[in-house]
Amino acid sequence: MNTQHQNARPYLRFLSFLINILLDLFFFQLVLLVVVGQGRLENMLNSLLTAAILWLFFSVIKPFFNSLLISRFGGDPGKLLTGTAIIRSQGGNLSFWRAFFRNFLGYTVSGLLVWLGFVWILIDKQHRAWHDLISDTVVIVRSKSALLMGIISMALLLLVNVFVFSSILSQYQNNKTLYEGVWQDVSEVIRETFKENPQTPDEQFQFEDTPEIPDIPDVFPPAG
Amino acid sequence: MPDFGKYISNSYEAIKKNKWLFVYGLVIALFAGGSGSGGSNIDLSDGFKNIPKEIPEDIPEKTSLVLGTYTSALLDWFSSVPVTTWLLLGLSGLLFVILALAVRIVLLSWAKGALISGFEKAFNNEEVDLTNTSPKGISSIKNLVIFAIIASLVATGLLLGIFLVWLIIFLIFHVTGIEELRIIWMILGSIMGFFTFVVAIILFAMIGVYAERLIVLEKYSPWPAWKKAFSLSKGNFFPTLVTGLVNNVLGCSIGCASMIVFVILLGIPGFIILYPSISNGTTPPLSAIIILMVAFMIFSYLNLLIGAFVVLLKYGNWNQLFREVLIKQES
Repeated sequence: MNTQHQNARPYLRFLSFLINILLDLFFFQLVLLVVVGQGRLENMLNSLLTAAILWLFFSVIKPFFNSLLISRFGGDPGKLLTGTAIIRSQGGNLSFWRAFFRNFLGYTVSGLLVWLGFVWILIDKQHRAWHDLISDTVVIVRSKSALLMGIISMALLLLVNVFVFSSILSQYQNNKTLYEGVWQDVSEVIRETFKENPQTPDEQFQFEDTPEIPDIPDVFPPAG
Repeated sequence: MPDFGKYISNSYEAIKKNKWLFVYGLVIALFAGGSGSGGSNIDLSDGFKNIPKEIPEDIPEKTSLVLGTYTSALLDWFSSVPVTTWLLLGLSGLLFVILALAVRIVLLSWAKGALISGFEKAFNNEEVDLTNTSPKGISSIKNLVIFAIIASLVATGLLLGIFLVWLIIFLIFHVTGIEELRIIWMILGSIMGFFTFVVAIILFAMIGVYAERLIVLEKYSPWPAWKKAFSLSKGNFFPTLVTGLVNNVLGCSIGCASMIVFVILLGIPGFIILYPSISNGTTPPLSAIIILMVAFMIFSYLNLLIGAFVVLLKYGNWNQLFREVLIKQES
């Protein structure tokens, strides 16, 4: 068992987790900003389709990318920014596949029962989660001064995310008419489609009985 | 014939003493598709009278009549997107699905290997935890995955073989024009084929049970494990069949019992909360929806735990049978 380094405390691991979440959220919001910023329906749909493709590719590539970071540098972005590292319990870096097993499959196991595997960090004496126990790893502190950098990174990421979110809201307000129009159209289509006798848009706005315009009485009789 | 009472009580004691085994049981219960419950079919459709029960067939025609400005533009956009973009979307989706499937297979193989080795330690009164069982699971992943592929290929080959034999004989009778023999073969052949298929499936399940334990505990390679498992299954067909039946009856009984308890403790209160809204045809209040969501979450997690417990009982029983069969063979 590793005795040279200090095991990372739960608050440090939580901090690195938050940084990773904020990083993911930032990229997600960037894509959303591009989609929401489109003023025309066609451009919005194009950017939505591109976003869907990017999200799918990102979901496939991210586990491999994180595993590469862990095997090469000892941690994912959150861990690197908080000065912590993932190593084998006997010492030494993880191999690529062990890192993949830990981060992808191990996280799945930890999250199975109300995320009990993650909460186990508070119970275990060495602050190991279930994904650490099954992959024989431990999270250690490499640089105590990096804690400050971790806190600053988290604060900066939080600010950036808030800024991007407010930009999204502002863009949404600018294009609200477009979204409301689309939503109205789509709901109308769904509603009319399930009716027995659906009406076309022209029919929906047609009066059943056109009221007759009454004759205007002669208020002023002709002169003479 | 095995002493099933002893099997079940030994398995139960091992599970009680080594709760870490539940982690592997949870993985298998969730990803193998089996669960402890007898099935949870909650029908809420009675109260929602306005929602059509059948999807009308003429939706495309009706929809095309009522399209507005934006929905027309949506259709136009759809047809204007290049084919390469749709191909790219399809490819990325396919990659995502392949990765998810691969992860599922690897996770299951790991959990099976670790659980089998965990029970072996438990029955030998050794300490069982994640750190001393997971490495065994990791080292078994490759061979268990290869075995699963071999087993699938053999099962598919057999199924195709049965169908081809049936088809060839059917065609022979069809070509010779003997109508009566053709009809008799169609019925008899189908019945024989069905029973052959069922017996084959049962045999393959038995082979799977023995082969997994041969791979994990006796360090066999996949193909020799398949062959040895086949000979063990043939030689101990009835004890293995009865053990399988006992396991399934156990699983169903626990599942049904737990479902009855859930209906009483969660289902009935949930219905009482929802009934005023169902009878009035209105949307339930937010507090009721939150309570129901929490109740559903509790039900899901408890159901998963019960499923894991059933998986553990089954694996414990299989491990004990495997050891008895091996000892009998060696003696």
